[in-house]
Amino acid sequence: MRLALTWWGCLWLALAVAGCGATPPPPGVSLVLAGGSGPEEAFAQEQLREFHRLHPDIRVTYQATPSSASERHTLYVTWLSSQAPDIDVLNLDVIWVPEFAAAGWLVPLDRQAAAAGISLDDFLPAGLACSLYQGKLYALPWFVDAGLLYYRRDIYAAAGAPLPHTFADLLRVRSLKEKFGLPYGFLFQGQTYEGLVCVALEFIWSNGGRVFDDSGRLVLDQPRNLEALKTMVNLIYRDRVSPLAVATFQEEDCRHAFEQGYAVLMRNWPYAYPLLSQPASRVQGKFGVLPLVHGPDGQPTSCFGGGCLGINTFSRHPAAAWTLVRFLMSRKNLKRRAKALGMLPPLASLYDDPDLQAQFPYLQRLKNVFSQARPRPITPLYSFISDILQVHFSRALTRQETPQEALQKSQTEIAGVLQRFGRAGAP
Amino acid sequence: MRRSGVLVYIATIAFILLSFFPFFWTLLSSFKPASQLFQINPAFWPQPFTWENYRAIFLERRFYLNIINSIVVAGVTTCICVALGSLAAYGLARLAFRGKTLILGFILVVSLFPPIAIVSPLFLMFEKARLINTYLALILPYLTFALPLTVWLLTAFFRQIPFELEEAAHMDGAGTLRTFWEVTLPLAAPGIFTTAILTFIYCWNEFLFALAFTTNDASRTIPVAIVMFSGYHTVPWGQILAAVTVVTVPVAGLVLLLQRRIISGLTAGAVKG
Amino acid sequence: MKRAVLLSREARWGYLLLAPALLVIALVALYPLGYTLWLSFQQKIIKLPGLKPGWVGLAHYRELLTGARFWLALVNTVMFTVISVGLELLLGLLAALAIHRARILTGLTRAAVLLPWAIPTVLAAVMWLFLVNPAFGLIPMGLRFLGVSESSQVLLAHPLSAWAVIIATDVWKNTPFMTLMLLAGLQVIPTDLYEAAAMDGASRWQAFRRITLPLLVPATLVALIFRTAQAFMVFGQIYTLTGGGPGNATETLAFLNYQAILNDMRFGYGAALSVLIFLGSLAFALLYLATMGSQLKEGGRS
Repeated sequence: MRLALTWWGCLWLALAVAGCGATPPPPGVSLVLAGGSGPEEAFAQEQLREFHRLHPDIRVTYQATPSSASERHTLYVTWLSSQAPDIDVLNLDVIWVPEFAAAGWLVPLDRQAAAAGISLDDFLPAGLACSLYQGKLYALPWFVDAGLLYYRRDIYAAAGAPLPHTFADLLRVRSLKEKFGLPYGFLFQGQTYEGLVCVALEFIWSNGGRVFDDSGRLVLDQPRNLEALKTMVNLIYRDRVSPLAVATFQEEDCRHAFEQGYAVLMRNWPYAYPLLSQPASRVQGKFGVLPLVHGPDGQPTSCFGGGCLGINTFSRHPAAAWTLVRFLMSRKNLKRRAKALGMLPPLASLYDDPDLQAQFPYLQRLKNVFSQARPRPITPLYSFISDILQVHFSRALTRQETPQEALQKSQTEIAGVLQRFGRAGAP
Repeated sequence: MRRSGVLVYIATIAFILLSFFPFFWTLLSSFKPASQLFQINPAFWPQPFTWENYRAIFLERRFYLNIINSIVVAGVTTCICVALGSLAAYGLARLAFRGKTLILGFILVVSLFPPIAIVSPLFLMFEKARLINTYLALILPYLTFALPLTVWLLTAFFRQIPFELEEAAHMDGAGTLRTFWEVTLPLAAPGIFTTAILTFIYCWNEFLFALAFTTNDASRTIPVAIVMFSGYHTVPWGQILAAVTVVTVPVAGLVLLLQRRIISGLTAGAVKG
Repeated sequence: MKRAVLLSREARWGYLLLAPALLVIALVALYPLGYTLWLSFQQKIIKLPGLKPGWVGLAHYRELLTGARFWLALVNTVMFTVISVGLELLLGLLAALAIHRARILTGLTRAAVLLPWAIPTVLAAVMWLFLVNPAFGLIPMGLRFLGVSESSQVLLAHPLSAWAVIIATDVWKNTPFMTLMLLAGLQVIPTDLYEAAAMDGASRWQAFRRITLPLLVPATLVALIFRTAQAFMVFGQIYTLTGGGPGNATETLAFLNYQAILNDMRFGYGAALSVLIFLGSLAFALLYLATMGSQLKEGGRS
């Protein structure tokens, strides 16, 4: 009998607890801002408190979402395809704007931006390009990311070697690595993920190659692209400048190896700079950043990344959401964000700010790199394109096919996708 | 015969070492400072031994909240699942009625569908029902996907228990439920506790639904919380390893608690009746 | 007359006992499953507004079944499933027998054997990713010690060794599931059967083959059906360890499904792929039931 009572008691208790958790919404205008967790969240809460002081009638809740791009994308797609109004202001990766805009999930911001007197010219060109879709503004660039070349200043100085600027200069890295007893020469991200596309496109663009030409035609299979891809693959197998390990590396693997002093050169995003400058880092004070190496036919061109802010079409308070976006996009707040989180601002003029330059001594160099950075193909079909490129670039890198085959097959497959879905999404 | 015994002994030890080793390495690594974690020939022992990772996840990230959420969701789901599942299994195993195969089939079919396909429509359903961010938003799908295994396993289990004992109870005048409660259930204890562990761990480990249906910190469960340790590019390996270590403790505790129950076994006497 | 009354009363009880469980399952699962099936015949790519949504019949199925990538993923998935589940069954059986019989194993070691399964799949994969990292991992260090070439140390850069790592991760994490199920199955076998066999002069091996294995079939059957279905849907390990690479050598059906639905937002196509995955798992389940399921199908009185 007692056993039966315990059983039923547990069951009812369980059901009661199960009902817990839902809270009624507070009164007034309630907005939700989605963004990353950790230090980003702590800083955002500070900003939101100030926002509330300025706009007491608007209450903003911060919703921490995974910072990893694919998990956040999963959430956004799940929510927005169900037309959920839960999140008002979205933190978007630059490559999502075209597809979300095409899906009708983002509120066009031209009118509001004009009314608020936001000068679009002050934005870094690549950032602005990523926020436009079919000529309309669907998001505002929030922070900026682009590939940099990190190098060991001490090693280059000790060897008296010229700093690396061209593809040919990469060959010298092997002798440097051997001379100073380092296990790795040049590290980059080569695993089968979006980062590989960024790196490979950087090689291609820096050699004067293109994926789409100015008229929007697919020109993937061409000599300059082939040269660039061959250079990348040869780094591992012929020139022995990069280890095969790079085919499995993501950003953090490269960063940790460089931080421990194992590598001469590294291609990585700006986020690594403050981390490498910490006391625990073995290369503190011994490294610097340069624009990426370029080929004989090109200029150093980084891949543009970063984030934008967009407003959910299904939001119940789009006007209030715009107020929040304007607040977050103010020069003061962009600057504070850069100083607190190292997330560099999208406004070109802020790079001349003495305050920021004091904290980031390499800021001018960054500005040059960002100004010349190129965005990835701006089309809702980008996920299809990226998928195809990831597979074939990875196959080339692991010698499952030659660079020639990789480009040819990519060209054929992407052309197929464009033809099939093309009218709906050519860049 | 002696020799085969020794072989079994050695094989068992090897098996334990192999299955325990990656976990042991994770445990050790979680106490290493970041600089030591990323060395080309990693040292075995942390030097210096540091609690930094654990401090970070508990004090900075409030990981204990996620642990509590996971325990509640997994615990409640397990209770309900075992209760409903054992009843259903008893009906399927012992009673004669039409449509048994169909019902077993339907229950099975539900768990053969990839969860990715189901996330969006489920989200829509829960959103309309205002269940997002409640415990129920997780408990309901977990129940749905844990019940098939529970029902099938217990059905197989109940069928193997000799019927004479229940017949005896019937003849003594006991009704269906009473027979179930007093005769079948105790005999099936190993199966019940096994199912409990299986269900608990399924809920403990589930990621996709937990990611999609709990959007705020307060209701987040462990797997999602750990994935969210990562920043825009950064991946705090030390903290992740520490969290993984922490996560296995309650489950190890649960298994320890129940392990004698799942290995209790039937003695010849009870079977003979 | 009496028999008919008994039957209808039993039937009522049967449905009553089943009702709560069935209600929960039907309530939650019917709409999503039905919707997925319906969606598989539709074209729905929200992010391509120029593409007309609507009924396309079997077009998605046709596209999938004539696509090389689908077949490669299918082969990968089947191979992974067969090898993984086979290994897990074998090791799980050995472990279950060891726990069941060897009195040397204390509760602590039993818990240790079951521990890998307590770690979420994604995290288990993360642990193994750390272990095989070519720069900082323990396993490449061990390989280096054994004199393996530097290229071969990078396990995840070669299709075969990448699969080996994925399978190892899966087997490591999921063997305890089999162990638990088979252990539960072992518990129901009455010990007096072994006594009788011993008295008849049967060897340990004969007793194992004639008594243990056949009586383990119900538990094995259930374990196999569910574990195979899970293996057929393998995604977390692939995503964490290789991202489908090198190239697309480790792509599985569930991985393609994830890309189709969540990256490309091809909801109709993804739904069709989900249905195909379901049919694959069902095929395995039916195979098991056909070969081993006679015991499960009988009435409750045997």
